[in-house]
Amino acid sequence: MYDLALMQIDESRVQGAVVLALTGRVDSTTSAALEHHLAGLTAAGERRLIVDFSGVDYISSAGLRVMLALAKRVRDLKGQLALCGMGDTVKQVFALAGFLPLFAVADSRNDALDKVAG
Amino acid sequence: MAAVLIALLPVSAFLLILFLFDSFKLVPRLMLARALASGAAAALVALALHRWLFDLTGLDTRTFARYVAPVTEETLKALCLVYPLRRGQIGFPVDAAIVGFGVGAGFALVENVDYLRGLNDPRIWVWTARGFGAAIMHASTTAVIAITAKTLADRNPSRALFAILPGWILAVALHATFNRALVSPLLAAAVLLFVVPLVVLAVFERSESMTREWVGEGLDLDVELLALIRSSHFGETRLGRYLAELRSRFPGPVVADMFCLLQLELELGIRAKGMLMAREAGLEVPIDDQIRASLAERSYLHRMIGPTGLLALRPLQVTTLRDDWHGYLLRHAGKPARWWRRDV
Repeated sequence: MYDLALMQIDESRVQGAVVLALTGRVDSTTSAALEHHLAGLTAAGERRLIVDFSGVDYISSAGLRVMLALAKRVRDLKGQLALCGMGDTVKQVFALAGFLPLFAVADSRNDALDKVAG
Repeated sequence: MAAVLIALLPVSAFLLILFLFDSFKLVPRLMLARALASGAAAALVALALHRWLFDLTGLDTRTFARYVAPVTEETLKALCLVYPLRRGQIGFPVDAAIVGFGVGAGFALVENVDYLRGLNDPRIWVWTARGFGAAIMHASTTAVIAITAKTLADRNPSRALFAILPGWILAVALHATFNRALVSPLLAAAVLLFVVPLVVLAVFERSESMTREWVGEGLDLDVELLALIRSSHFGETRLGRYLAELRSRFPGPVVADMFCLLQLELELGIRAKGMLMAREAGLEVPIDDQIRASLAERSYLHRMIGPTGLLALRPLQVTTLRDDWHGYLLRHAGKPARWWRRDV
């Protein structure tokens, strides 16, 4: 677990996929740490990733940039990435920016696991 | 012909570098092709105009080159920039620089071909020096006009029409200095070749960084503002009170359309910024039917609100030149891939 004042990252492994459960805000203060964490995972060769937004109540452009960079890296690795548990606010930001088609979006973690299943 | 091509090489190489370094892919290939073509057309007009002016004034070549040609040529090249600037097709100084360079390069190509046809000197280095210097000079002065006009128009949108003047004056001065041949043409070209790319690269980097900031912070602000507009407290805000006051001057349906336009511009702005953000990350966001519908709705709302209504919305910064550019960016992102479009 990584604990910043405004954001937590809980990492676990389920059915061979890495699940990152975020809690708090993903903004200019916290996004750098998130990006560093995700970069470490992809550099280590992880190709099946789920980002769980159930605990996220706010995401700004800084967080969107991190997710875009992750999507690009996973695509280059020919891996699978799914986002799940988005609340209305977070989903609206992704939708307004036009980013929903770039990701596999699921309502629940189980659905996300189906999307990234090999 | 070989000398012309050699002479155009530095400009073409620099243009290509700017084009490739444009990480937000702000300038589609078609737009660059249009810039080159319009510059070439401007040169053809200049040739005809100069022939007429020569007959009319009886001036000698040297006087004409020093005092008349800089004014006519820079004016014609500046006119090539008016349309993309006024139509919101240029978003930032970086794409202004690329388009300006393109217009100047197209102009120089035609001018050099005409010049070399009439040149009796068989020495290839004379052709190359003349062509080299002219190409750099034309591309540079037009880039100066474009960058200055875009920067000034952004700072003072209400005076966008006059924004082109300061850059034009500077371009005429640079051109006239070059034509006076105070130093040898090769030395002048060498100075331009060294100084201008540094200036343009500095503008380029600053513009890229401005674009990144605008995309990020602008998107966050737009999202917050949109949430505020959609909330039940909007009427209590300054924006809300201003719109309410407009009810005394405009019919109710028009004010309703103004409110809708405010929301729509924010939604489109967020989409445009999202698109640029994705492009910077190396991804392309698809344009869906909803965006096409929103763009059509925007045109409809403009018609319903009318020019007077749009003027009344200016204090709210609704439908600025930047919003026109959002529309241009989104419309052209939705077009099917062609060989002239750059794919991410």
